[in-house]
Amino acid sequence: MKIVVDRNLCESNGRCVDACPQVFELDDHDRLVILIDRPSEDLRTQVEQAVRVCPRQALHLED
Amino acid sequence: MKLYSDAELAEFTPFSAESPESTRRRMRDARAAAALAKGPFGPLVLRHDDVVKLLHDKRLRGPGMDLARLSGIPEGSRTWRRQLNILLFMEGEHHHRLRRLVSKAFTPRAVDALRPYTRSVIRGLVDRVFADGRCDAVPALCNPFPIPVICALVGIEPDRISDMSRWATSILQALRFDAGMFLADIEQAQAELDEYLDGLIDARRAAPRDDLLSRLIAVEEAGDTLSREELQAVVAMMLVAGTDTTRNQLGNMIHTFTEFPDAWSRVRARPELVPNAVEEAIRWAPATQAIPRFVLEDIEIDGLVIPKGVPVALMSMSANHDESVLPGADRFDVAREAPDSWQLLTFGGGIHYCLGANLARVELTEALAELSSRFESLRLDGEPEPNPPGSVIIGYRSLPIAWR
Repeated sequence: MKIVVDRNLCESNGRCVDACPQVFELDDHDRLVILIDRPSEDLRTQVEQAVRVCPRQALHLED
Repeated sequence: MKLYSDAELAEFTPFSAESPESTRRRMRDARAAAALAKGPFGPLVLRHDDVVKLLHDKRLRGPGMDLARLSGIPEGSRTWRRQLNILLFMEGEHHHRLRRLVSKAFTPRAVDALRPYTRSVIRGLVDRVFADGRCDAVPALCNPFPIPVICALVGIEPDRISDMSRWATSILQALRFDAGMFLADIEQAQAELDEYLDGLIDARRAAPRDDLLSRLIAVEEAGDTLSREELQAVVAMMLVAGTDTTRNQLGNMIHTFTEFPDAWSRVRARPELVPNAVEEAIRWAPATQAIPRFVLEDIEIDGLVIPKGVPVALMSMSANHDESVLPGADRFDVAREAPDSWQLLTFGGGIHYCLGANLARVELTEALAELSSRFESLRLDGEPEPNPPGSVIIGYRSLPIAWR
């Protein structure tokens, strides 16, 4: 799976970071950094949770 | 498939004088029977999953200027022009641009920096009444709480806080269904606020500080900046959006804890529960009952059609209590661990998701931490008086409490 973030929608609420800190991080300027843009399958549950909890729905998964 | 208006559905009037407890009970019965209820202007969406889906559905738009028109605010007036720049009432590229510029200066981390000041505000308010053992929580604690915090965030000088409070009270009338009746008062307050901000903008432009106004003045994306009128409108918006909601939510939270003394003891015994307790309080008795939207194309919910052009209310209050998604939703549980499929809907979702949600959480967690550490017990000390019908925000205008 590949993580896609819509930078127009992302507002650095950081809920994705709470859901999956191995993959999502906010840098010193509060900008979202995708640490692994093609994470392994064992992270799927947490990554899908991150996508779901984003209040702005800024995240999508592509295969 | 049939039109929702032809179906046998429960009828309900949001923002009426009905008590939250009675509302919860009726919503529960209605929700079990059908996905929709009938409101005075259009259908009400009752279930959690439907509300979540619709908040992200492009076939619905926000309320736009419908409310302003309905409530009698003259087009072209100062109040109208300010409302045009309230994010909730904006759409499309116009909305997108302003929200992007504003949210850049409003991140969760910036808001977190206000924790110590926020705590000092609520502590000061408690100090004033603590020895009495009782107070009316609304004028003593809830009403004076959010204004200084918003002022600190924006960069308003402390000696103007009481003016900001006065202006906020007047300008808030612009969101009532009968706003036209208060127009002179609203316009006067708006003009005074604009004049004050004019001077403040010049001052911050000349000498920027570490505050929201300075950041908004400096914010820029590919050469695009905020105009003076936009800056004034954004500050007015924060005053309006960031005070009534928070102070009523604090009142609702306090009231809820008077109903559940065991929960109060739990939070006192385990202060690490405070953030979770706040989430549960916001779920249980939200200050916002319904999220207004407008249908741009026919949509279908659970076999019922809502036709294009109909105003829809997404009942966040009902969805927050949807037991089909949240087991034990009818219990107030400060240690609740919600399932992954659950989303708190009090702050909405999608493109109009509450920009101030994180600030609201900072304020409410600091308030609960302070109150629970100071008040050994918490009980009602008289009959609470809810906000009158027609208020868009659910809360109390009088809440007598005692802690000894």
